[in-house]
Amino acid sequence: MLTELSLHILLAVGEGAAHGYAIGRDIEERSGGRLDPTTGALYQALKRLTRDGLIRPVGPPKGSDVDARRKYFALTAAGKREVAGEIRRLEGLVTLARERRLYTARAR
Amino acid sequence: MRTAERLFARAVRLLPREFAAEYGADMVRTFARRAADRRSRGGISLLLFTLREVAGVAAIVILERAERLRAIPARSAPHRDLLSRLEHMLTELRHAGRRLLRTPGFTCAAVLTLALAIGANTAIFTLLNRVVLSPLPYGDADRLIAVDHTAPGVGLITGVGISSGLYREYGELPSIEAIAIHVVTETTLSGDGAARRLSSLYTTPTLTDVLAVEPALGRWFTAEEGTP
Repeated sequence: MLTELSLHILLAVGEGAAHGYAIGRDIEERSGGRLDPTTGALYQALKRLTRDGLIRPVGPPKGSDVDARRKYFALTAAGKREVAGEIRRLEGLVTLARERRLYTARAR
Repeated sequence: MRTAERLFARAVRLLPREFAAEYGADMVRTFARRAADRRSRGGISLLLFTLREVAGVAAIVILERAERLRAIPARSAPHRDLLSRLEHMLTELRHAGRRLLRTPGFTCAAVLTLALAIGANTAIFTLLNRVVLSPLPYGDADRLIAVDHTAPGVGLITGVGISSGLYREYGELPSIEAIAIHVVTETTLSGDGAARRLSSLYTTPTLTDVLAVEPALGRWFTAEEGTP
């Protein structure tokens, strides 16, 4: 099972390779400020995800807003599978909560 | 490099060597960008952000070092249990801190309650300490009594004073071993240099007998010197 921060990181690099600052910003914006990891926590998670083979360091992508000195991270095939598995697990929980009438909000 | 960045870079250097070598420089760059975002929001925002970030790195330092120790067989790392407890405590602390920040009203009420409770406790202790634990620094302090005269009829609650006759009268009472009068006041000392205001005391020579003390310097007044 992934931690919430790890899942958010995988989702952030899902769109394409990104550096630490962009990943942190993406997480903060998408969670509406609820998740705002410290730089330390962010890099610890990045290190663990790299060790587990879910993301990998890559060269800077082509583009104008690229800083060659930065480390960029990209999702691996194993990472994609992990995200799918995690979302399936969450989906199962949502279905269960609906069946038990503990969660009545409609799917958007 | 600015102060905030320097502070953060110093904290990063405490990380395990491989971690710092692999990610340290990038962490500092990421921090610098995030700090620049905060800098535009003002000094306090930047200060709070920097403190939080440095604490964040410190937490990772402990967690990473704990993890490395966990990888060592138990026999050669007797502190493992302690470390996992420490790690647990750290998680709890961070959790508590985050919850307190999220509910500022509750946090304020809790801090105020604590402040009041600590204040009340200090006051009670001060009183107990003076009265019970370490009473007046005089011999037979429990036998000392202070006599005050009042005249409630004319609205004088305290400090009516004593006449010389009454003073002699009191001194002859069988239950009184010694008696002294004192008036606390202030006196101006002038002479060499600038004049100084000193706190002083008018008293009878019997004061040393009552309090069972000796002057720290010089000699006390003799009974003859006290005769009018």
